[in-house]
Amino acid sequence: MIGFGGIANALFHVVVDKRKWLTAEEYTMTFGLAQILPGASPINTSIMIADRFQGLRGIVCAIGGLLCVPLISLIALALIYDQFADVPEVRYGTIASVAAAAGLSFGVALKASFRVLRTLPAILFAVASFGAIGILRLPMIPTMIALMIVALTFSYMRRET
Amino acid sequence: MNLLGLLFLAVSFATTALVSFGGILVMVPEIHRISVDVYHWATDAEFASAFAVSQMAPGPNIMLMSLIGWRGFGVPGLLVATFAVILPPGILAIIAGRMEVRFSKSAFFNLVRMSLPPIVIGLMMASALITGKIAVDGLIGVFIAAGVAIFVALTKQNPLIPIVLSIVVGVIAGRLGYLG
Repeated sequence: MIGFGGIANALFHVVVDKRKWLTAEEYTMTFGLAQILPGASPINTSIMIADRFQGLRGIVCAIGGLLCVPLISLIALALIYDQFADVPEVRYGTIASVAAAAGLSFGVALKASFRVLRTLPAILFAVASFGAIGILRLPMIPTMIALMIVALTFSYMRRET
Repeated sequence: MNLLGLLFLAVSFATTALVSFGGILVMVPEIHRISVDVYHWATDAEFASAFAVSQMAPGPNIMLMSLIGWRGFGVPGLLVATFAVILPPGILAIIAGRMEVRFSKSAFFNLVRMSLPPIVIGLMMASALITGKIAVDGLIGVFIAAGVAIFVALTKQNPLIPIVLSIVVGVIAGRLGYLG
């Protein structure tokens, strides 16, 4: 509910620092697993934690708790936005914040690439997924399935040798 | 009510969510392609404002999809889009969570962990490009995006700082007549 710009940090604070449901290590392991799975990592992490402690009922509560207030405030904000969309300042602010979000995505990718893109095959896979989705605008689902198959086969063959 | 449209919304968002390795932001290009280019649920400008509002509102990033659903189909669209994005990966997460110990030691898991990161980086860059294309017009936009990117890549500070700064810069630049 208080997670401005994504909820990952707030979630760690509540689960580990405040409620002590998990230790930092347990949390990191669960979050690491969630990051490899598709979907929103913080939501997947919450679902896994809720499932571990309360089962299905916990999952329903977790999803409800994560979404209820944000969705209502989202609609409120969207309605307010529509009212003021013609005010120049609002338009400028919107353009700037979307530009900032683009920069944010790029910065996060750049930061990770210092660490990850150290071999030629890794660079090729990154260029391939960027080109297919960003430049050619190919549909994501077949593209991802094809890329995953090639990448998994490639790592598998490299392990063998 | 447009049931067929809702069905398309549910299926397209759910299947996209299932291949969204690397988080919700990597879905942005595909959601834009589906909702603006293919089905016309939103215009480019509406997509940009939905993106901005979902970023400004507190809560998870999937709210971009919730807003697109809302723009296209009202409250039913909001709910369908939200759950379409959450549930399929959520079910996978439950399964994976229950076999966590076995799973995280398996050879396949390690293969995935080795293979995924470069692809995800490419997707994130694609996401930045598509978002940028929608919003960045003129030098000021490029300046803001580049500034935030450099800040995020080189420091460990909270990204909220450069984002707030960007909005201030944007409003000032707009007032001075340098922005669309």
